[in-house]
Amino acid sequence: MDVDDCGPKILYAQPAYILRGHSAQIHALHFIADNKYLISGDADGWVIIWDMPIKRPVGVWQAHRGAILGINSWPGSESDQGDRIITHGRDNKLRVWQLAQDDISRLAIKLPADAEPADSRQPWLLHSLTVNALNFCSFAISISPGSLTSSKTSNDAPPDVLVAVPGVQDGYINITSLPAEQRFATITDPKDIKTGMVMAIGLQTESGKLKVIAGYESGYACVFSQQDGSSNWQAIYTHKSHTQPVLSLDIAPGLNYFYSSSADEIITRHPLNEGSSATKTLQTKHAGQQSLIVRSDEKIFATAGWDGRARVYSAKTMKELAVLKWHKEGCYALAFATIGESKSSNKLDGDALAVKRNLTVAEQRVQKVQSTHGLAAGSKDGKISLWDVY
Amino acid sequence: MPLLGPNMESRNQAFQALKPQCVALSQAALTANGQARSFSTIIELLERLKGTVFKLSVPGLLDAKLADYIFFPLSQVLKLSNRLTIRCLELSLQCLAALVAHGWRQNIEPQLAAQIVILCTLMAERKPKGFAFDESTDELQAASLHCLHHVFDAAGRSPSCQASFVSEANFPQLGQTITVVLKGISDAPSLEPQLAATEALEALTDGVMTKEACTSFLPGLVGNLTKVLTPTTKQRRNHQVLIGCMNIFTNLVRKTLSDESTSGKRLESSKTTEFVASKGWEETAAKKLEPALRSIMCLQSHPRDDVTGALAKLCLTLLEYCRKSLADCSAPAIEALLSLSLPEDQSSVRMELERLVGADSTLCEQLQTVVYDKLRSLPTAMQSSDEQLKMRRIEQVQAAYELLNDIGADNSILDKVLASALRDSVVITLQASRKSSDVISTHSSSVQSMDLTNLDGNRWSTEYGQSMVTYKGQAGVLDRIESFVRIVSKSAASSALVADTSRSLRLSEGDTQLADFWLLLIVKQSATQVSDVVTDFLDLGDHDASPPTEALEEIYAFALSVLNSTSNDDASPDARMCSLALRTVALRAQHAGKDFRYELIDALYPVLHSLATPEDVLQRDSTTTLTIIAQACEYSSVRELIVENVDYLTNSVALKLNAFDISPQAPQVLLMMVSLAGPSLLPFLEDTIDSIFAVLESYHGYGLLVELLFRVLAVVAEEGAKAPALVEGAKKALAAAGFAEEDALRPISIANVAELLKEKAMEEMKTNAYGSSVGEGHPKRPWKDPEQSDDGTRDGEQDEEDAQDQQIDDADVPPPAPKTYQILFKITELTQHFLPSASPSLRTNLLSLTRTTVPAIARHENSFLPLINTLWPEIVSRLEDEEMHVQAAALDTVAVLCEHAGNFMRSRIVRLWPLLLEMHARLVKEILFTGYGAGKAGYKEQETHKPGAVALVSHNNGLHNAVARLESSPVDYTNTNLRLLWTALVSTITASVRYVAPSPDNFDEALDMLAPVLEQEDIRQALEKENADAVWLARIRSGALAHPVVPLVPAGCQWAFAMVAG
Repeated sequence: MDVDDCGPKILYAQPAYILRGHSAQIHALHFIADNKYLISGDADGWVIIWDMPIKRPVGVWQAHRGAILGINSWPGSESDQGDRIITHGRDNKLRVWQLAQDDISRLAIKLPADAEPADSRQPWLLHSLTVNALNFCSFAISISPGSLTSSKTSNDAPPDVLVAVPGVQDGYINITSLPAEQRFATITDPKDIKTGMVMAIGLQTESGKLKVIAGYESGYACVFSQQDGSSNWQAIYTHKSHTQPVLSLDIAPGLNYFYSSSADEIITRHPLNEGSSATKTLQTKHAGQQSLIVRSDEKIFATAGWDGRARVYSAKTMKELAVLKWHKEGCYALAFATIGESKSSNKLDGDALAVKRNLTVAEQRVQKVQSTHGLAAGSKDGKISLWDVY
Repeated sequence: MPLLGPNMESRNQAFQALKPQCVALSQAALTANGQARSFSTIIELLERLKGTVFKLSVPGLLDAKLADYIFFPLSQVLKLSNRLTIRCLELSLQCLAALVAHGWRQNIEPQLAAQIVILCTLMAERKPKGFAFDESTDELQAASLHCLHHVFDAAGRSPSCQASFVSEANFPQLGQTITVVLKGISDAPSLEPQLAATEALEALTDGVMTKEACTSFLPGLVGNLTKVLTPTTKQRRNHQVLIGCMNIFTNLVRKTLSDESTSGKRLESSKTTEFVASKGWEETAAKKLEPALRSIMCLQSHPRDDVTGALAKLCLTLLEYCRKSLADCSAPAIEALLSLSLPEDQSSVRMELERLVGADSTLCEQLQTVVYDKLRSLPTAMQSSDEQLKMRRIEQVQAAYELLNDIGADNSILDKVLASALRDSVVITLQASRKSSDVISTHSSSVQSMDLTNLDGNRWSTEYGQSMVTYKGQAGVLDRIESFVRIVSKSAASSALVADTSRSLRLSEGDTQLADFWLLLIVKQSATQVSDVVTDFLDLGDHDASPPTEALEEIYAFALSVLNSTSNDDASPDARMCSLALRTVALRAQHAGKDFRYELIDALYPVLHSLATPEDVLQRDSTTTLTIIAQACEYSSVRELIVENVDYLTNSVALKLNAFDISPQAPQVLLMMVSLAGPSLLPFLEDTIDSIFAVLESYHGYGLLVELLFRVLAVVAEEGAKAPALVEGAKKALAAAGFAEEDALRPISIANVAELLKEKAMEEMKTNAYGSSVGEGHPKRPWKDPEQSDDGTRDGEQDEEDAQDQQIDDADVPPPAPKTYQILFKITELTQHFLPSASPSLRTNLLSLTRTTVPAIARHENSFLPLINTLWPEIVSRLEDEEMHVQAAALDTVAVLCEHAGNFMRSRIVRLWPLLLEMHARLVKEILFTGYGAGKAGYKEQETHKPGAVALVSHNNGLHNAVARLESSPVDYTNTNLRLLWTALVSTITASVRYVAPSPDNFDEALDMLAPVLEQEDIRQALEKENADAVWLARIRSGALAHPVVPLVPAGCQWAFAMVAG
């Protein structure tokens, strides 16, 4: 694509495709199944599964009665049978759906934008938790620290996960384990600072230890962890770099950083551990960075801005690499296609020579799409723009 | 023994018949002494004799003895030859020939034969010496040559005779004879002697002359024969002569120079040392023969099959028998054979050639060299202006290549030059066209020629026309090249060709790239066909199928880039390039079948894009491609193809427009999409429409573009207004307008007053009667349905909610089908900025666009009414447009607004009223002025007015008539605008009366203005609804109705009151 020609200078490109179909703002985007599908959720609670090779919806249902706050997949649940995805809605519900490959073909594909869709068939609902949904804070998910060992014994079942959502009280975070649906922890805000509401949460499990990262209304970002042996959660890092509420944060565990964006003009890179370098801020000169996401290879991250632009930054230097402008209204959600060796692409690489010529047109398409380093940006206008970047 | 029984008898009869004649002839000959009379007797006798001899010339009748007998008088005659007339000689020679042929035959005596040969040789000359005449005639020459033919024929069968002929002693005479005969062939003025000479020589060389004799006379023979066989512009040889000479040549060559004979002779030569032929001689002979043969090869283009057949024989002989001795001649012979084997019916030649080449590797190499040279020189040959020649050249190369392929030769060297030779040839052919003025393609520049009606079914052909041809001559050459490439692509060379061409395709540009693309496409096309056929029968495994697929991918990608570049670059690429690209896409589609649906995301838009180009040829190719794709993807029609994939198209168009690509194609495609896919597409077009707005904003100065974009918007509006929710809405809005009517001012009638009073009285009575029960409230809702009672509590809540909802609804009901509605609304809103545009057609279109959207937009009053407020000034200002049809359109728009906004328009109409009056006055003047008022004023009156109806006030009779004439006159160019405006004005006034409820004053004026058209049913009804009495009065006044006349008393009668009893 054009990207290569433009080189390192700031990119002003055309989207590769626009997905139209939502009639409300896009609030959440997530790639699943090796980038074969993109799931999008809008402010009316509708969720659409898009088949990326053909850029068409393959499943449409109303997952929540209120706006979708977040969509993510159950880590480690991917298998040949399909994925588990979790949606979080303004209707105070957190739902876990089983998306079997066979199921997808049975879902309705009538788009919300087409008219008032009738009751559509939903995927199999595994869990439906009543959780708090005060503001636009989405849930965070991580493999439960304890389940890493146990999951090995039973291969079939996906590992246990922890889901973090903001608590009813301002500044509280509730962590629930799934599938047990049991409260795992409640984290209270540090008492020495004024945090306000929890605006963004991140979970990070590293060598059996869980870290909880929170962004607050007051602009604070904190990292909590459990001191050895103790059940108390201590804030091990507290920093206020934003003057406005934090809107989004994402973790780059490999780099030992996490990034936060807020309603102001600042992007901040925070250290994840005590050891890593100090906090670094970037003044972007445009306020309202609704969503921030780090690509799986941790080389770049992107923000979705209220000015309708998605921007790509280098994860290391925080230098702006590309401005992706297409939407005329604010961008609310972002998703990176996963990069790296997934199971199926490994297989394809292995006998690529032997397999290549046997591929049908459709398979070639799928392969191409899965290897494309795409970025999806969802906007207030109900459209999702797809970009091929780096 | 042959002469027995009945034969004996018939021989006797023959003898009896001959005897008197022979006696008479010999007497005549003896007595002849130079007098003319005696010669005439001889002629007479000779003719009779000739008749008899010819009659006897059936096998078995004439024998040597009879021949001897007949010869006697003839010899007597011939003795006088130096005095005889030509006719005598001719006749006697003819008899003699018959005798030789049928009498003596092989038994002819050598001396006699020799004598006849001497005599005939003498007489066969053009200017024979020692005769009574100076110049011989054709007939005599022919007769003598004929005679020679028979003698040689006979001599060939008699060994003794033959021996004497070729004896060394006879050589001078033989030489003389050969010279004369050769001269006869080449110089005789007419066909007969030429033919006779040819036959004679053929008989001589074939039967009589030994190899030695041939060898000694070879130079002369070859020289002369070559002269005959070389085509010249001066003389056209008869084909029989040519064939004969060719056969002689063939025989000579085979006899003297064949490989066996020379090698065999070498053994002999040790014994017979006297003979001149040596290796050295052979070499010189071969050297001399070569140019001769080359010039003979020119005959290969001779139109007659038998001639070329003979030449083929000669060539085959050369190849088969003289391969070594005449090695130098192999190449030209192969070349000649190649072209000789081209015609369909000459497959035997080809088979022969194949056999020869297949059997001998040197020949094969030679053939390869020939092909190599030809390939190398092909581009040069393409520069010639002789199309036929060019085509032949290609055909030859093709034939040779095919042949080499068939025998399985290793063509790797050829394959190396193949690609470049073909490419260069194509390039040269293409470039030649540029110089030529003889261009056949006609470019129509109608961008609008996309005919949507054709999109259904499979009416479009799936056959492409010629893509590359721009002038007539090219077609043939390119056809040949194409068929050659098809041959190549079926061979092993195809991969080399593909590799070379695709490498070049990437690097080249212009015509070379075009040529590469074309060649590759052909290779792919035939390769797919082949593999289709092959895989139908055989399962070859995957390794065989993959290379074509891969290469196809490659050119498919290239094709897409070509098609996509149409829109991006300023200089649009060659139409031929696009057309090839379209073919490639179609090929890919056919190859992939239904699977190609996955590719449509990339491929469909570029194809449609090319459909919207102004070039005729490309449009045709584009439609063909669409049809092929639709078939390949198993869509029932192109329409279905487009409708099913409209989301991809939407995306492409949106991206194009978003990038401010202002080529007309994208809007064209959008236009087509919208009109095909209908209103359901509109919700997805939001941003596209926005992009159009942005483009409109930036490029508002570009009239054509703006008009095109508004045409798109108009279609969008049209389709949007069809959205089910909005159609329903429009109906409701109409009903609402009907409601407004009832609020209108109307005088209160007595009956109303009476009713009012009655009601009042009733109420009073009620209050009086039931005064006590007022305090107790009655249920405000009906009793609940027992079925619903179980959730009674919730019901109550719901009701409250409903009530709340109702309230909210009243405050701000969202419009139906919000996205579509928004689009329509925005489009309509946008028109205000373009209404003052300079283009009258745009202004009209905008107004009509507004009329389209208004009924739909009216569904949502809260946004509709402010919109009217916004648009109103612009629309009103259009009423004073300089173009009458724009005024008319503006009036129509006002009418539509009245219809849908109802009473909201009242104040506006009131303010507009003076303008309407003014327009009306102006229009009336104009109508009267332009001649509709003049002339036969009384003519209409009688027709339209009821008998007895006389206008009470006749001041506007003229106008009335004029209007009637205006409306009834045939449509022509002079009055269109006037009529348009008049109709629009009438409808506007009618609408304002019908929907807006004007003030009484305005109504009166409206009635006045509409007076001429009051008789139209709908107009009258509209007015009557408002005030029927006024209408009645107006009609009375204008005389349309017979006014109620007080019955007149018939003459002589009197009125009388009827008497009523009681």
